[in-house]
Parts: sequence; C-alpha cells; structure tokens
Amino acid sequence: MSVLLAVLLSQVDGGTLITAPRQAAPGSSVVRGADLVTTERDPGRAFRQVPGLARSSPGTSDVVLWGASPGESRFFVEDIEVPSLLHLGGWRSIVAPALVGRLEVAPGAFRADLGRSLGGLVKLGLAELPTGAHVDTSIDLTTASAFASLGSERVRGSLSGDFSLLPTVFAPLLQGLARDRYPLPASVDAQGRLWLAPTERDTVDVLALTSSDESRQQVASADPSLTRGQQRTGWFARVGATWRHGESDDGFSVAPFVGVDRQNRTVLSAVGQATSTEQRWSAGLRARANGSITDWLTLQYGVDAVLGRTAFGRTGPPGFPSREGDVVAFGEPLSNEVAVDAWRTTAVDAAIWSTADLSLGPVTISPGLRLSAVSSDVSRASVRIAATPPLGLSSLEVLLEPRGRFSWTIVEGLRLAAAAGLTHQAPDGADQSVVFGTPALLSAQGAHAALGASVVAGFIAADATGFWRGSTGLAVRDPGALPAVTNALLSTGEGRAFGGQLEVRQRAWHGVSSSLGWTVGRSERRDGPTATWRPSDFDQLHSLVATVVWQPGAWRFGARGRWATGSPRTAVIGSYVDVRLGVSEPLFGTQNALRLPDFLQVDLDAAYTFALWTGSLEVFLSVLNVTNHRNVEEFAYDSTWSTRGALLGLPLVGTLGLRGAW
Amino acid sequence: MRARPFVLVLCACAPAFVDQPWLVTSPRLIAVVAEPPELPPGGHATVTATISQSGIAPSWARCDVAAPLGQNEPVATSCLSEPSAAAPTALDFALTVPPDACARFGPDVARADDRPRDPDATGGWYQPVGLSFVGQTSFAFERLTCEPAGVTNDVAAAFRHARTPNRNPRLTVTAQVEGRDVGFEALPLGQAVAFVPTLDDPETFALIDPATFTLTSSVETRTVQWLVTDGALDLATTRGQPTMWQSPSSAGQGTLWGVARDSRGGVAVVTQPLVWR
Repeated sequence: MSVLLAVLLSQVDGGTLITAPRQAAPGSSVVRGADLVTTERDPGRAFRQVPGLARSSPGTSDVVLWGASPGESRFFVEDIEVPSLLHLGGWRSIVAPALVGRLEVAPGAFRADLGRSLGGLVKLGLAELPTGAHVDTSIDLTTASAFASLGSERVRGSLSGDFSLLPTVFAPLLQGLARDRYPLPASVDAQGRLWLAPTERDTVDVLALTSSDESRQQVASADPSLTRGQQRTGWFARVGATWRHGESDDGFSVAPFVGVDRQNRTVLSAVGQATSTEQRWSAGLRARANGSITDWLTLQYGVDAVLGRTAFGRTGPPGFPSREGDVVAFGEPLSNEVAVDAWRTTAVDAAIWSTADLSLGPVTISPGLRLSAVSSDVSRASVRIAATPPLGLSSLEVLLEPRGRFSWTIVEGLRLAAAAGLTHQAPDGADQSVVFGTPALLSAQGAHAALGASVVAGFIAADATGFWRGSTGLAVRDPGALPAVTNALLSTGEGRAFGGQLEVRQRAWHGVSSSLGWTVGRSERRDGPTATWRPSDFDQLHSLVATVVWQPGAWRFGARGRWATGSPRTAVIGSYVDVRLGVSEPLFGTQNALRLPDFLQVDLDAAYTFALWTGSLEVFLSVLNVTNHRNVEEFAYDSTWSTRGALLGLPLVGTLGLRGAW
Repeated sequence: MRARPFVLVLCACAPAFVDQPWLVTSPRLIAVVAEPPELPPGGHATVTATISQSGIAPSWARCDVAAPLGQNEPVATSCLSEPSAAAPTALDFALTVPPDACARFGPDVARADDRPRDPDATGGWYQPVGLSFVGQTSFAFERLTCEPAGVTNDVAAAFRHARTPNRNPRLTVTAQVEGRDVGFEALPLGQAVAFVPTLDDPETFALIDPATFTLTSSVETRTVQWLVTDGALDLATTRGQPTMWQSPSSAGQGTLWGVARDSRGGVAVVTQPLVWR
C-alpha cells in the first residue's frame, strides 16, 4: 500500500490503513476507498507519492516506476488505456477529484492479466456514484473543478470537469526567464458517466472522457536570432464501457473502449523549426472471468487486446525529439539538418491469459501464463527515392510469458511474498519511421522479479520489497555517422534496475496517522551487449517520503516531506564556436556522470470543514516548500557554455481554496 | 459558490546570467570568410579568419569525420582534439575539399544500404574546418555542391540547371545619430548611435523540397551580428535593421565588427574603428 494512500485511507477509516486489501504483489499498491481525500488536493495525482516511483521534475508528467523510462509504463482509467493520468506538466490528473475512487500501482512483476509494458502500470478506478443529487466543486491555485451527479438505485449519471488556472494565476507572477522557461500548460478535461444496474447481478458502467493540454515555452536571448521555444498540444478522447456480471470471485467482466489521440510538438531553435505530429485511433478490449474450481483452487482467465492505427508526421533533425540516452543540455540548439517523413503504423497487441490461485493453508501459489500476439504494420519500409511507390512491412510475433506469485503467511501478521514474470512491449510506432527510426523494430523483452515481506504489529504495518527488472531489445540510436538506411535505431539496447523499498505505516491513533516510504535503487542502460552500463536518464538512488496527518474534529492538518537524489545529467566541460551561425556548441563529459543536487521539500496543509444543512464547505490552505529550500530542477548555461547556473523549483508557495459539496 | 485562490509568496526561479554576446574584451574569433563559400568536392577555397586582436593567428585543421546521426552538435568529437604541431598557422587557410566530401557529409552513399545525410533547411551540406587559438576552438563550414538524392532524373537535371553556387554577401555599415549620418571617427559621448547595415540583394536559390522531392526555390535570409569592444548594444544580431549602440561617457576608441551571414553559409565581415569624444 502506498505511503500517501495509506494516509488517505486512514482519514476515511482509521482501521482501513491496516486492513485494506493487501498488496497484490510485492511492491504493488491496491487501495480501495469510497472517499479518498488527499493532502495533494488531487487524489488522481496521489500515485506520484508511492514508493518505487521516482520523483519527476515540475513541468513534466513523467512517471518512472522502478527505474523504467516513462514510455515503458501504461496508464488506465478503469480498463480504458489512456496516454497519461496526468495533464501536461504533471500539475493535475485528467479526471475530476470526485470521480477518483481507487488507485492501483503495479511497478512490476504483475499478474498475467496485465502486460504490454516493460515498466509499470497505474490504474485509476472510479468512485461509486451516489444516489440522489450531488454537486461537488472546488477551486484552488491550480484548478477549478466541478462534479454533478444524479442517480437512483438502478441508474446513475454524472458530469464533471477540470479547468486549469495555472496560466491565469501563475504566469503574471513569474518574471522574465522564469516565465519563459517554466511551461504553464492550459489544461481542460471533462468526463461523462452513466451507470446502470439492469439486474441484481449485472452492472454496466459507461465512461466518456476527454483531456486537452497546450503548453508554450520560450527562451529569450540577448541575441534575437537565438531565441528558442517550444509548443506542445495534446488531446485525447475515450469512450468505454464495463459490463460486470456476478461477484468478484465468481463472475465476469467485459470492457471495450475506443479512442483518439492527437499530439503536436513544435520546437523553434537558432537554426530552424522542428515539428512532430501524431494522430492515433485505438480500440481495446479487456475481458475476464473468475471461478472457484474447489475450495483451494480458483481460476481467472481473460483477454487483453488493443489495436492502434497511428499517422505520424515529423520535420526536423534526425535526433528530434530527444530520447533516453541522448546527450543533450538544457537549452541546447537542435542540429541544423532537416529530415522529413510521414508514415502510418497499425499495431495489434492481443493476449489471452490465465492465472490459478492455489490456497494451501498459509501458502498461496499463483502460476499464470500469458500468450500474446503482436502484429505491426508500417506503411513504408524503404527509403523514398523519386517516385517509387511505398513498400510496407508487416511483422507478427507470438510471445509466451509465464508469470508466478508465491505468498506464505508464516504467522499472523507476518507474510513473505515473491513474484516474477516475463513481459514485452511492442515497438513504438514513432520509432518506426524509415527516416528517423527503423521500421523493422520488434518488441522489447523484459523480466521482473520482486521479493517482499509484510509485518503487521498493533497499529504499525511495514512492507519491505526488493525488486529487479531487466530488459533487452530496447531501441537505441545507431552511434555511427552513416547508419544503414532505414536503420537509424537499433534493437540492441539493454536496461536493468534493481533496489528495494521500505514502507512503514501507522494506523490512526487519536486522529494522527503517519507513514514513511524509502526507495533505494539503480536504473542503468547500455546501448549493446558489449557496451558499458551507465546510469539511465531516470536513475534516482534514493527517494524518501514521509507523511503525517492529524484530524481533530472538523480540522485536518497534514505535513509531507520528500527527499530524493538528484537526476543524472551530463556535464558540459567545454565548448566550441560554430562560426557559420555564430553560436557556441557544448562539449560533454562522461554521460550522466553528474547529478542535480538532492531535492528536499516539506509541505503543510490545513483544512476546516463546515457542515451546512445540505452539505459541506471545506476551506483549505496549502503551503508548499515551507523551508523555501532552493531545489535545483535543471542546470542552465550561459550562451558560451562557460557558466553553469541553476533553474530552481518552487519557492515557498501558499494557496487558499474552497471545496463545496451538496 | 464563489471562491478565490490566493498566492502568498512566489518568486522567479531562473538564473540571471550576465550575457553580453556582443562585447569583445579578450582575443576572440570574429568571423571566418571562405572565398568562394561553396565548392564541389575537390575544389579549392581560401578561408580567412578575422580575430579581434592583431598578431594572433589560428592553427587550422580540416575535419573529415561526420558527426553521428542524431547528435545535435555539428562536429564529431574526434575532430575536437588539439591540432597537431604540423597544423598550419596563419590568418588564411588554403582549403581543399576532399573528393569524397559529399559521401562523408552529404547525400552520396558509398554502399547502397548507407543512409544519406540530411541537408540543412537550404538544401546544403558542409565540410567542417577547425581553427584553434589561445585555447579557443571554432569551426567554420564550407558549403558543398552535391548532387541531390532521392529525386527523379528530370528533377535532378532541372536542379543542376537552376542551381547557382552561393556567393558571400556584401556589407557596409554607417553610423547615425538621431537620423543623421556621423563619422565613425567622431562619435558623440554617452549617446545612442545607430549602426545601420546595408546589404546587397539576397540571392534566390534552387532547392529540393525534402517533403515532396520536387524542385522549388527560396530566397536567402540574412542576419548581421554586431560586436564592439566598448559601450552597449541593444541587439546583438539584426535582420537588416540597425542596432543601437550606447557610447561610453568618456572619450576613447575601440572597434566595431559587423558580420553578415546568409542562410547558405556565406559570410562578410566589416571591421570599423570607432572613436568617441
């Protein structure tokens, strides 16, 4: 169970902290609560606090689980796959707070029903809609949100949405370079939901959601020709339904969805402009059935499939956009080479899976198997020469992935657990350009393993987990000046991550609950079997999160502290002048041998809830970074790359807001 | 419900560099001019460096290794080593472009499965030339005349017929105070002086559209970079418009450089002594 979520649950029910459903696998978090409340003010964003997840910089929505690159993890709202659970910049989640009912974080070693990912999985479950008429609105420094629902025992519906206030509130307050360099995205999301219970044993939950982001960033210069900037827009929509029949241990569910995504990115640099566009249509289906064969054997089996058809367009240097392993510095101009390509991919990743749970007294053994078929079609696999018609490329892979889990309750309150499995991730269509990438890329392979122990003693619970992750076949750049045609990327990359995490949670006692989570780990990459391992761009050695909540009556006070090792960076050790453009270019030292300084932040939160005759009104005050610690979020350099400065994170910031519910 | 967010404290979070790219206070490479600025493989050019301080000459070394695909910086790291003792040292360098330059840096490929290099936005590929002095390393780039890749024979023939090798721009600079011309040898103290560039007409050049592989044309864009040894400039680079120079408040003399660059690698430099009194 995650640190923060443990606290959240403790606010709902003091006993829930310890007795909530246990983690599904070592290191995983599965929390169900009817009324999540968070010191974050945004429960959908609370998963960023869990152990095993590296801290990401403000301005990014990266999610790094057990050292996996952000693109290696997948995100779901119920069974609907979404590109991210966070808006651009990571400031808010993509659903209104009142809709959030459950968060599941599986950093790795997941069961056979989950897959298609080298990294972890994060699932946001929806809250049960209430009967009657309800309105829940809130407003704070970052967001205004609204939720309205109407329902009976059999039919319930809701409409909700969030609107970002960041550009309106923050932009006028930031000055000069800070305003230019910190993107403050304009974000909007909306959700519509319809829940039906046609029979006692059947429910149908239909969800439509959409999310939109736009971010503009510009770095001014004393030399106007060196002014550079970036604009990103993203939009997606999903419509999905979940039909559930029977009980959770003897029934089935079917969850189809369809969706569309659009992403655009433009980078302006001293030598020109680079653009990237992406439009994806997708459809998916997840179905599962559960059944008890005997008292000691239950069986789960199902289907997990997703189809995506994506059109890509890209103009810019071959290294655009940058990827893990690229040696770049903040603010560095792009190469002046210009390549152009437009391509389409159609990808299917379909799996059937089955898991058995054998309960043998204190021991539970859960073997599982997942059989996947990965199909990839690329519209062009040969270089465009004159008027030659395009020749496409198709590939089909069949992958068998065993999964296993073992649990042993040694004595009451002490349990050992282990889990391991193989997984894969289909090639990213964005890497299958004939010009920018390699159309013939195949799936990357991964293996996860975790070993954990859980202890419950009185009102204290603790989990210790060790983890290991390995992956092969990762797409990396060909280091040569003249790579083979249509092979700008090679499938020779390897990754590994290993470490441990410790969580200690204290159940509510006189209104006080607390938790502590510490993750120590390494994430490393190399470009080929003979290359030297190096820290990955997302390596974070330590991450420590501590949370305390006190709830005396209508008051609620919270404090949260976080300390994390700085992310790796490559030092600039010199420069040379490009006389053609009159600009300096950086010279780099050993890749990722430098680190940003450690991060430290303490936040305080206070709220008071007034009971009104038809509802409640909460007034809350949040103070972020109360110690005003000068956290270095990025290194920045002057125009000659001779002086290194620091872009600092949030200073002491306080916000006051209201939340009303009727 | 009405509500209002409040921000208690917030401050700027970015480093404040004193970035004055136009100020020359130590020996510095101002510009490198190649004549001619574009060559076919095997061609010869004279490359001339302008350095802010007389009596200093750089050592030269041609770079024959292309940077890895995907690297942002334009020069391979193997070309960044110290020049050998045998490297020529002079303000001028006689450059001979290697016969296989279009294979090393351009669209020609030695093997059928090699990936051709991508051109810049003007359809150009470039041969790097390194020069070093007093611990500074710089690279000039000679534009290469290469055959286009990936086009039909008709488009290639039309391109060969239409293309014109790049020429260096021509630049002159005058000084004005409140709209009236003044001499560089008698600039007023403590006033705003406009340095006004005059450029010849920009060249129109043939270009293969990288998206459609058809022949098109474009017009050069040109900038003027300004450097001074004293005073303060409001713009370090202009696109044909003047830059304003705030002259010092006490008498003195210095140097102004104007460096015109076209988008195809052509360069012109004006070195103008200044006297303010």
